[in-house]
Amino acid sequence: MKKRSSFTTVFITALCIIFSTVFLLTSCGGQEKNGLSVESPTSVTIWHYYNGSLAGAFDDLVAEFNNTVGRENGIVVHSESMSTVAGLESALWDAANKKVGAAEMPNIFQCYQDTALALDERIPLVDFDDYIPEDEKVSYVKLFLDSGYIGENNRWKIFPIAKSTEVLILNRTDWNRFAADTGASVEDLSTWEGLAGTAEKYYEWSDGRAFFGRDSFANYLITASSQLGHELFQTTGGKVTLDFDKETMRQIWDSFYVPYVKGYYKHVGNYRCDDVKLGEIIALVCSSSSAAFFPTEVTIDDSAPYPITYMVLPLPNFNRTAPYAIQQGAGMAVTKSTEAEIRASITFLKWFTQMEQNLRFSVSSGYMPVSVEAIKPENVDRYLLEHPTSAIVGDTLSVSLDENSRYVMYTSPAFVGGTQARDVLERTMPELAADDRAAVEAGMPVEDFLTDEHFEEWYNDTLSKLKECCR
Amino acid sequence: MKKLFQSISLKYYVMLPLILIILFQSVTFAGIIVASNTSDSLDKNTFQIINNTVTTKGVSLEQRFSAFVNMEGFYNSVTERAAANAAELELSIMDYVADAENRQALLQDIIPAILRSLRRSGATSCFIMLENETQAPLKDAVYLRDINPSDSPDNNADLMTEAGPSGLLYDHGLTLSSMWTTHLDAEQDCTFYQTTFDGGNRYTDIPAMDLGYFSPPVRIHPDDRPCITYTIPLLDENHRSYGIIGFDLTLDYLKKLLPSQDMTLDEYGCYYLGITENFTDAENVLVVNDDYYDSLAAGARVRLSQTNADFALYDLKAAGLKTATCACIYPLRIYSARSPYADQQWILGGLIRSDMLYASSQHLNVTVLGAIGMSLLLSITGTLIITHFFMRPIRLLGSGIPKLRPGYSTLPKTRITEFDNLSAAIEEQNISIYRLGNKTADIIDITGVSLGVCEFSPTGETVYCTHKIFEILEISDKGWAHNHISKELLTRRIMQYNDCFEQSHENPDVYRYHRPAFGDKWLDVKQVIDAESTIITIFDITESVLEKEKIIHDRDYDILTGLLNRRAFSREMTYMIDEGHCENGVLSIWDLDNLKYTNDTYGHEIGDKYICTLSDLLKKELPEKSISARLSGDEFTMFLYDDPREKLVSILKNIHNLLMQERLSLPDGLELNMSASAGMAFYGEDAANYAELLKYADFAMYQIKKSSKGSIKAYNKDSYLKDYILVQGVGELDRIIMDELVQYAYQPIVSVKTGGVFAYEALMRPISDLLGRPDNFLRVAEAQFKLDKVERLTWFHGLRGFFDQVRDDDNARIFINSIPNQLLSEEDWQRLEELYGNKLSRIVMEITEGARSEVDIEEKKRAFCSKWNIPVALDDYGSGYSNSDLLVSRMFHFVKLDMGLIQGIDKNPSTQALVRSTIDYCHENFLMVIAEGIETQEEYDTVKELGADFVQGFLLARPSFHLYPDK
Repeated sequence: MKKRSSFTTVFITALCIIFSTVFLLTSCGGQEKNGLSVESPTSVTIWHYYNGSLAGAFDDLVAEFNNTVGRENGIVVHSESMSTVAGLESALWDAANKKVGAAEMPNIFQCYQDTALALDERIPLVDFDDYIPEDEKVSYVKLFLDSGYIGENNRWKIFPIAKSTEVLILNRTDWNRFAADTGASVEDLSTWEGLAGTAEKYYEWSDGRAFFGRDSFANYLITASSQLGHELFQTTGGKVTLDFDKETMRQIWDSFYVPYVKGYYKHVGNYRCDDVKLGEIIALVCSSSSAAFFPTEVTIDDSAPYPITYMVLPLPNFNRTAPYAIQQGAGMAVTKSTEAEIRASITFLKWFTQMEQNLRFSVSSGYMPVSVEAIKPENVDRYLLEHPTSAIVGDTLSVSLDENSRYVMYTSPAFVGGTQARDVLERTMPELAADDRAAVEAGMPVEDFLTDEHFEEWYNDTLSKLKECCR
Repeated sequence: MKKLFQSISLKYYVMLPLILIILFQSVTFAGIIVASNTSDSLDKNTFQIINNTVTTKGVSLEQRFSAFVNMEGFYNSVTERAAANAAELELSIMDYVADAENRQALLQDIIPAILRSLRRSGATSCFIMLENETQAPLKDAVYLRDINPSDSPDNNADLMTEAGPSGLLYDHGLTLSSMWTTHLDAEQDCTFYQTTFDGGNRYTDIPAMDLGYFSPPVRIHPDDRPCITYTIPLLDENHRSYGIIGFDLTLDYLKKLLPSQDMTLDEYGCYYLGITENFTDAENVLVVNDDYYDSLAAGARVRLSQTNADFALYDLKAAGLKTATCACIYPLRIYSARSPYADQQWILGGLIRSDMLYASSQHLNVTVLGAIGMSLLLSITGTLIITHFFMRPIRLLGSGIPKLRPGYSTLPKTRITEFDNLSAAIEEQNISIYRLGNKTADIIDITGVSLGVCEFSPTGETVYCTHKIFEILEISDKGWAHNHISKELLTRRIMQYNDCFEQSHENPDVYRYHRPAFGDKWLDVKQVIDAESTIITIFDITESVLEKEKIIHDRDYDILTGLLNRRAFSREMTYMIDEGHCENGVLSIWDLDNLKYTNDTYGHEIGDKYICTLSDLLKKELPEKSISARLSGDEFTMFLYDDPREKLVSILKNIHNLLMQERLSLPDGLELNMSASAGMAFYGEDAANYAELLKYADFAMYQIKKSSKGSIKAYNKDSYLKDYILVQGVGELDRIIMDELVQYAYQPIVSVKTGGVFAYEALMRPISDLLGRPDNFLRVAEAQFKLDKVERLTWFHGLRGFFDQVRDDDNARIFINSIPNQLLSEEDWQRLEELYGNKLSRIVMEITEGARSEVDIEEKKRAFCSKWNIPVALDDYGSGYSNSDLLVSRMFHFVKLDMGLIQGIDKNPSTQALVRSTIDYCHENFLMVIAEGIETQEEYDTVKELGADFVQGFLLARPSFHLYPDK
C-alpha cells in the first residue's frame, strides 16, 4: 500500500513538472497581446501636415513613444510630415488611388472631416467605437469627440488629438505707438465693425499701411454666417443643404472685402504671420496653432529688423451677436489593416492624448488639448509653470481655452464635396479683394468696386460654385 | 558486499537499461550539437547580420549624401550667375560681392537654382551664404528648408525660408520660418561657414568640388533644430572664396533615415553617427538614435576597441553607458581622397548590447539543453510509468504468492497468458505440495511415533498442523478436518492450556505438560525459525523420561531401603563439605549389630526387615537438614548439619535409643533386640574434609563394634592414636613398603565347564609378623595413606610373580586385586606397558566396591583396562559392599560371588534363590560368574547346578606361591 502511494506521488509530481514546463515554454514563446509582439514589432506609419517646429515637437513625441510604450508593446511608429494640409491630402489621394510611385496608405493620417468622409468611401477607416470602450471615451472632451463622428451612419472615424480655434494677435510694439498717437483701444477690436474702424484709423495714421489680415478665410465665412443665423452647410442623413444667405453675405462682404479694397486689410505671403514679420500688417487672425509662428521681430524691406512684442486677443465677432469661433484641427483617422496594426495605431493615439503628452504637444504648438483632464485651466497653468515655453503659445492657449468656454465653438459638418466647397469659400472673396486692391493701387478708383453689382457678381459666382460642390 | 547479491526487482532490470539508453541518446545528441559548432556559427551569423545591416545602411547613407555631395551643377549655376552679374557691372567677382545690393541681387537671382537643387538633392535644406566686405559675422544668405524631402508638391508651400531676403515671399510663394532672418550668423551659429570659406582660400590646388566639408551638428538659428551641413566654398577665378553653398540634413530627418528598428537583434539596438580622426581613438558622437543611449548624446566622446576584425565589431566605452555595448562600425566614404578633411572619418555604428550579441547562441544552447532536459524528463517519466504498468501483473502475481494458502487456493489473474500459465502451474504445484505434506503427516502417524509438527509464517493466516499435535496435547481437533487451521483459532485453543507447560530446568527444550485429567507428560518441543516460517515439533518423550528417571533413581538409591546409596551419598557429601555448602555437621556411621547372625539364623527376609527398621526410623526421625544413606549391607551413615553440636548429637542419640527399643518379631515367636554400633565425627572439629570425616566416624564406629557394641560414640582422637596396630604398624608398614617385603600367592580359578584352570588370583602375603595378615596390613596402610604404595606393589609384584612362573603353553589369566580409590601414576602405567605389552590383556582387574569408591579414580582405571582389553571383575559380590545396583550401573565382565553367599549354600534355599537370580541376571547381561570360597563338594555341586561359570576355593586349591606345585 505504501509503495503504491509513493509511486502515485512520484507520478503526480512528474505530471506537474511536465505540464508546468510545457506551460512555461509556451508562455515564454512570445507575449501575444492583441496580436502585438515584442519580438516582431508592428510598424505603423503616420502622416501629418505639421511643419517647422511643430513637426519637431510631434517627432519628439513619436520618438518618445517608440522608446517607451512602443518598445514595451512591440510598436514602432514612423512619422512623416507632408508639410501642408494640401500636400497631405494630395499624398493621401495618391495613395488611395494607388497612383504610380505613390506611397502606401499610411496607418494613421491627419485629416479633416470632409477628407475623412471622402476617403472612407475608398479606403475603409476604423470605427473607433469598435476599439475604445465607453469608459475611456469619457476622458475626452465631448465636443471634440462629436466632431469626429461623420457620415450617414454617424460613425466615429476621427480621433481628436489636438484642437485649435482662432485668435487675434497684435504686433504690440507697433500697436502701442499707434494707440499712443490715436487713442485707439483694444476694446474696439472685439467686433468686426470695431476692427474695420480701427484699421481705417491705422491706414490713415500710418500713411497707407494695412492694419489687419487673416488666415483661413473659409473659417470666417462659415462662423460668421452661422453667427448671423445662417449655417452654411447643414447635413441630414448624409445630404447637405446649402444656406448661402445673400444679406448675411453682404454683411460679411462689407466687413471684409470693403476694408480690404480700401487697403486696410491685406495678405501677402502664405500666412499672415509672415506678413507681420515683414511689417505688412500689425494685426492678424490665425489659428491658435499658428501663434508659434508669430515673429519676435519685424524686418521691413530687409533692413535691420526690430524686435516686437505681441498681444493675444479673443476672436472678434459681429456687433450684438453671440460669440462664435471655429473649432478645428484635423484629427487622426486610422485605416483598416491588420488587427495588430489597428491596435498599434490606437495604442499610439491613446498614448498621445494622455494628459502629459497632450499638454506637452499643446504648449509647444498652441493647440488645445483634447482630454478632459488636460484641458482644465488649472492643469494647463500647472504644466506651463513646470515647463516654461514660448510665452505667446502659452497666452494663445489661455485665450483659446477662454473662447472654448465662452464662445459657441462651431464645427462645419462634413460632407462629400466639403473640401471643394471649403476651397471655394477660401478663395473667391480674398482673391477678388486682392486683385481689386491691386487694381486700386494701380490707379483705379476704389468706388468702382464698392457697388452692389460687384457684390452680386461675387455672390452669384460663389453660389454657383458652391452648388457645384454640394451636388 | 552482501547487498550486491541481493535480488533486485525486475522493474530495475527493465527500467535501468531503458534509462541508460535515454541518457546515452541525450549525451550523443548534446555531443553532436557541441561538435557541430552550431553555437559558434550562430554567433557568426549574428555578427554577419549586424555587419550586413550596418553596411547596407552605411551604403544607403553614402548614396543619400552623394546626391548633394555631387553638387557640380548647383555650383556651376551659382558661380556662372555670379560671374555674369559681375561681368555686367564690369567688376571682378570679389568686387561684385563686396557690395550689399549686389549680394541681394545675386541671391534673388539664384533662388531658382537653390529651389531646383533642394528638390534634387534629397537634403532637408539648400543654402548659399556670401561673404561681405567687412567680414561681418552676419552673412547674406538664402537658406531654404524642406523638412520632408521625400514629399515634393507642385508648389513650394512645403518649404520654409530660414533665411533670406523678404522678397522671396513675394516672388516665390515661400513661407517664412518662425525663426526667419535676413542674414545668418557665421560666428555664433553657422560655424561651418568659416571652415569651408578658409578651406577654399587655403587649398588653392584643390578644386572646389573636393573642398566639401561635412560639419558636425549645428543650429543655424539659436532655437532651430540641429542639422549637419555639407558645404563647399564659392571660388572666383583666382581660387579665392567669396561665399559658400551647401546642403543640410536635419537630425530629425537623419534619425528617420537611421531607424533603430533596423537593429532587430536588440530592442535597444540603434545607429549612431560619429566622427573620428584615427578610428579607434576617442571619437565624437554626432547622432544617436535612441533614448537608451542618451548618455551618448551628441558630442559625447566614446572609445572603441576592436573585438572582431572580420565583422568590424568593437567594444564601445563611454561614460554613463547603461550596459556593456558593442558597436559594428562602417566607415562612411564621404570625402574624396583629395579632400583636406579626409582625416575626419565619419562612421556609422550599429549599437547593440554586448550580451545580445550572443543571445541567439545562448538561446539555442538553452533551448537545446532545455529540449534535452525535457526529453530526458519525459522519457524517464515515461519509462517509470511504462515500467510501472509493465510490472503491475508481475507485482500482482508476486503479492499473490505469499498469500497463497496451501491446498486449493488461487492466484490473482493477470490477463497475461504467460503469467496466468505460470500462476496455474504454481497453483498446481501448491496442490501437490499440499497432498505431499498430508502424506508425510500420515506416514508419521503410521509409524506410531508421537511426533506432532506445525508450521506457520509470521504473516500467514493459517498454520499447518498435524493432528498428532492435538493427540499429544490432549486437545480437541473438532472442526479441523484438514491440516491447515486458522492461526487465530488455533492460538486461542492452545492458549487455554498455556499454564500446563512447565519448562524443565535441565533442558530448555523439554516441558512437563501437566493436565490433571490426563497425568503428566514430557514433551520435547523444538522450533526452527527462519525468515519465512517457524516449524515447531512436539515429541512426546514421557516414556523415555520416566525410564531415565528410574535409572537415575536406581543409581542413587538403595533398592531395599530407599535411602541414598554410597555413591550418591559420597556425591552429596562432596557437595556439602568439600564444596562448602554447610557450616558444621556431624557424620555418623552405624553398623547394625549381629546382622550377619540374623541373616544366617533367620534368613534374609528377617535381615531385610532388620535393615528396614533402621531406615524407616531414619526417614521418620531425621531432621530436614540431613542426608542419610545405606553404605553397605549393615552399614548406614547420616550427616546432620547446620545446627549446634549438642542438638545434632541429641537427635542421633534419640534415634539410637528408639532403635534400641525396637523389637523384631521372629518366625519362631521370639523377638529380636535391635542394636547398632554408631560412631560420630564432627565436621569442622575433627576433620575438614569428607574423606577424613568418614575415616574418623568409621574409626569411632569400629571402636564401638570391637568393644561394647550397641552404643553410639563420638570420634576420639586419643583413642584413635592409641589403636595398637595402627600405631605399632607404622614402622613395620614403612619397612615392608620400602623393602617391598610382599609375596604373592596364586589361587587357581577353575572353569566349571571344562574343569581346567581359567585363571589365577594374585593374593598378597606381606612378609611380616606384625602385619602378616593382609587385612591388618591394609588397615595400617590405609590409616597411613600408603594404600597407593600397596596398590603399586600389588600390580608390579603380583604380575611379576605370575609372568615369571607362567608356562608358555598356559593361557591362564591373572586376577589382580586393585585397591579401591587407589591409582597408579602415569609413569607406573607406562612402566607396566613397557614391561608386559600385549600380555596385559591377560589381566583381569578385580575391584572391590567395598570402601567409598571414588568415581574418578575408577574411571581412570577402567580407561587403562579398556586400552589393554583388560576385563573387570566385581569382587565380593553379595558381601554387603557389592550390591546388585552396581551391576546395573557399571560395566563388569566377571562377578565374583562372595564366599559369604557360597558357604553353606547347599543348605540355604533363599541364598540359592538369590544366587540363582544373580547368576541369571548376570548371564542375561553377558557377565561371567565366579563362585568364591568353595570348600565342600556340596557347595561345588550347588553352584554348578545354579549355573556358576567358574569356581575358586580350598576344595580346588589353596593359594600357593608357586603356580605349579608338585602336586
